[in-house]
Amino acid sequence: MRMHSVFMGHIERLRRLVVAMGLSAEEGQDVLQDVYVAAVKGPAKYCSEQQAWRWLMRVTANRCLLEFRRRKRHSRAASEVVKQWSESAREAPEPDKQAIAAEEVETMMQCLRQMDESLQVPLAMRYFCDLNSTEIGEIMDLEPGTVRKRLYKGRIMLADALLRKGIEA
Amino acid sequence: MNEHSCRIVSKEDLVAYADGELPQSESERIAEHIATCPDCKALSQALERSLQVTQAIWRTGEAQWPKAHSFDKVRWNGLRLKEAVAVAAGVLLLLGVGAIWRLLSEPSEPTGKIADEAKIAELRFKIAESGHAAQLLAAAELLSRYPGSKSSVEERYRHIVETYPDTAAAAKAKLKMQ
Repeated sequence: MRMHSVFMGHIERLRRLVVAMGLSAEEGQDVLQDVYVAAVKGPAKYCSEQQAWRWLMRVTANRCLLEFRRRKRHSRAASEVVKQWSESAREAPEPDKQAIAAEEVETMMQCLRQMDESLQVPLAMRYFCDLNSTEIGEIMDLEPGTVRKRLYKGRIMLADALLRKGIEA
Repeated sequence: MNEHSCRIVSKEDLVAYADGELPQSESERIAEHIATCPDCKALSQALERSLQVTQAIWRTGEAQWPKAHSFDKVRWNGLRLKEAVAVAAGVLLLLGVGAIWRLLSEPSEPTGKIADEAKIAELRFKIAESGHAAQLLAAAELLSRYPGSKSSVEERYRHIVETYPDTAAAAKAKLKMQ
């Protein structure tokens, strides 16, 4: 089954996209399950693997957007993120730094929740799925220049949110 | 958005610099400028930090996923097909045992009303109805485990009550709806 192998070959990126869009693991698995079914049942009009995986990324992004409208996203606790983050750091941060980090996490999650979908999808693809502007443009049917503008807007929104809070970067 | 008052380096350039997308000479020029411009320094640090924090949020989400997940199990309305088939098989097994027991407990020489073909057909129909209702109830109960399925589950309970009113499953569904 060709679509099965394409799907499984790109599962890490698909999963990252779902995660970066703010869905929980449980919701995300449901989304990928649906995408998988759509992929294997879909018409075999995707002549190359490249086109097939672009289709998978686009369908996954759209499916996440549908979920957004129904559910609260980025709802995990800031302390949970800081804990996980500290564990992956070489040295455990001091308590005051952890408190600042928790505030930063809360600020970023709030910003992501409010961010327009048209900015959030390219941000997730660029900074978590490691795709470049051209690849994102091919998936989303946009010019690379448009993708770069959206990435710029998203990055400035996130940075501004930190600056507004007066958090020392 | 916060005002970026520097007239030498634009915000676009700072984002491109932060992302390492500028030619080396341009990147060096901006790095030198950032060292002397507080406005650009603040934005540059905020760009870097905000991305670090956002990626930490994403990584935490990723860490909560199970190590392996099989996607090749087709789901039926939120349930794995395997689960639905298992429920159906269980119900059919129970029905089969019930039907055999009834046949065995009937007199070998059919006499009286019970031997009447119409009655047997009615009995069979009722058994089949109970089976269908029980199957639907089991599926609705499984579905109810999934978040966001409340309205769909209630609809199924209502369907059971309305379509199979005289079954045990309908009575249970009624209780669930209360």
